[in-house]
Amino acid sequence: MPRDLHTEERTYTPDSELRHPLGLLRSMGSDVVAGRELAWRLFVRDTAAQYRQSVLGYFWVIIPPLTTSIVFILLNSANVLVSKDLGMSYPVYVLIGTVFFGLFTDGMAAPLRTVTASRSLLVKVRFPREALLLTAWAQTLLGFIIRIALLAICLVFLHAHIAPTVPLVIIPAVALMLFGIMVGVLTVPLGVLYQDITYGIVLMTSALILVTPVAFAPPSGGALATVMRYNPLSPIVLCARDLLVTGDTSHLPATLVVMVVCLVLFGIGWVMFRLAVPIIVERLGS
Amino acid sequence: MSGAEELVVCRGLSKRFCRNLKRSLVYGVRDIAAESVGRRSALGRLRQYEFWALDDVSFTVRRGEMLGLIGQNGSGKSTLLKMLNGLMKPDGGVLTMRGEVQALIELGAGFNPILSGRENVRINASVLGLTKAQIDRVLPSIVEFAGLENFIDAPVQNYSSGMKARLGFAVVSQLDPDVLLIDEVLAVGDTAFQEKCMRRMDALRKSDKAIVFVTHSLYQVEALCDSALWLEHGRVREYGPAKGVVRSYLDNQEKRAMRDSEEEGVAYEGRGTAATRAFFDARDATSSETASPFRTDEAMTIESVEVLGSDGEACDELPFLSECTIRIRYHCERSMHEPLFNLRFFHAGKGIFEASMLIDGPGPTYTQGSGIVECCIPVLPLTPKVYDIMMFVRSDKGTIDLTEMRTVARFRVTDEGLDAVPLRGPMAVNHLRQGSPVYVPRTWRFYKEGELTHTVESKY
Repeated sequence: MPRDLHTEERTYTPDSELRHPLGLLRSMGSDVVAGRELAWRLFVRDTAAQYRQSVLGYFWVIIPPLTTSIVFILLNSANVLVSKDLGMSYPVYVLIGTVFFGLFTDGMAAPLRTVTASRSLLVKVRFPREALLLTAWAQTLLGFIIRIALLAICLVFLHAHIAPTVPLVIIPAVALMLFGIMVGVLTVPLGVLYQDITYGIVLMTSALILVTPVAFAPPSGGALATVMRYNPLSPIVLCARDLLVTGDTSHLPATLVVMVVCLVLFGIGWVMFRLAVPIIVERLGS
Repeated sequence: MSGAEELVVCRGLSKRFCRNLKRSLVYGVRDIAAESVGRRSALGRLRQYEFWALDDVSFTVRRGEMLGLIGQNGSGKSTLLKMLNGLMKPDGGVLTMRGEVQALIELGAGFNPILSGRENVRINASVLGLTKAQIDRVLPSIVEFAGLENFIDAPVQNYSSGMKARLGFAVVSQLDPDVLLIDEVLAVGDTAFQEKCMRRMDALRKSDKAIVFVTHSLYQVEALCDSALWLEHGRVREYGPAKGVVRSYLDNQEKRAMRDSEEEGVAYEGRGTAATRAFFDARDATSSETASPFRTDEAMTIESVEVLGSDGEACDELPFLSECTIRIRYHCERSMHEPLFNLRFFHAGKGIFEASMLIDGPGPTYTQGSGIVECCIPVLPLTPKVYDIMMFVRSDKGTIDLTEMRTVARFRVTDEGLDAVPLRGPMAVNHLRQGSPVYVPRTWRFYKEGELTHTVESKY
């Protein structure tokens, strides 16, 4: 069957693709479509490979937040942490906090992980690069489903009160994943070249959990209060907890604003990722 | 073919690489930054530690044409292939690719060791752009082509490297692109599988695709490719019909080998057999005092040995199938009875033939003082290669040594005059250059029911 060669003509020059923004957007779109099936395969491959050599398997998704929660619960019971009136039992508070904060850290790690897992493919085969970003999304979503399911079991076990606004929890959940993936995508080009980024992400995760209302409510004064107030993650975590338990939140507008900003930054990160891949390939060699 | 569509058009393509990893990463970050604001960084020049991996490369591949890329390791062949595949951006020039492009670059790239062969085939096929429906349809034929029916559900980590490569090739053999890029992949698996691959390649070649083929096998380039591009240090050294390029390439390789051996001051060949090795070792051991092979402590002193071309001038290169004369200047103090000169032609340590007065009969009954003897060979039947001449002289019916046997000259038969014989065979150039050193004229006759049906002549 003769193909229409004009639609399949590609010209490579030293010019940046940004010089033809329309063409760039069009090829980004078509690569997303072309990369869907591959993204699914890569997702299945990485997920299957990740847990095939493991006894606990998918439980590893929930074990880190559970561990973190238990540590905080122990700290709290020893009165190390000063918590105000939380409106719910401390275990419920900290469990929701760590589970939702985990959506952010999951998202942040996913792009670099998928790119690294497909590194040998990346330098040898030309395939829609968008598939890697889709895979990162799929992995984060899988984590989200598992976390939410196990959180629900825990909440029932803790006899927590569930508010009728619970379906709206999807908004802060998506916001947190988007936030994380946005940071992840923006750091991928550097992260593939320099190990420092991986170390930095690990460090940032452990620091951020302390300046986000994950294990304790925002203090009313002091430096920490200021940091928490300007931490864009704070309103989203608070919003998620409110919607889940109390049903009344003042953090929804802030959450939506952060979400829009993240969406724009994600778009920029995506374009940068696309432009960076050929340069990364030549720096990585074979 | 000149009217066929141009599927690969490469004009002045350049690519620079960095020798230093730390610098390379820094440049990478700068390039990403420049790219992200729509600029080009360090256009057309080299930064510190950088070199041109490809420099001003131009060529065209049309539909139905197969181009062979040849060159030493590190000459830029794989880099060029990666750029054709769109994995890297050029740093100069323009590259246009028309139609669907597929690369057979590394078989089984992306195979995950702990997943089964079947799962990996699905992933691999998906990476190469096949849809789920297409994969379902071709999966059985992939498994069959690879001959792995019994192992397809075992994890790939238990496969041998040959099995992995077979599976990889089976997947790509299902593709139907317009432009196919192939990188040295056929040298895997057993003979039966290689045969399968070659058949598949031949089918692809005939099926109206544009193929770019990287290989170290010059035989394959000569036999399969229409044109060839010879890269040297990232630059095009020669580009044209495959036979001609292969010929120049082989000639150059040999010239270089000869030059290297001269620089090292030792024979690079001629050490193949134990006997010649011992001879050379002994010569090397005494080489400090006897820099030249000509010694004065023997009954006959050989003053010089020269190889003369058809014009009668001394040379170290002779055209293929040309006249050749060996001129020996000697001196003997005492009168010598019936001196018998012997010349043995060697290639790679093996004797090829000899011109010997032990066979042909003696010259003058007595000789004394200085003299010259020439051995004239009207047509030297040696194929283009490097040859050594070893010589010894005896007297008295061959019973007395006047000189020991030693290497006295080295010369090269070039591929000039190669056209004197019909180069009709698919690997003619390669076989003349790399095959047996002796060329003799011959005629092939085919008979059927007593009737002569076909004649193939190779004469000069």
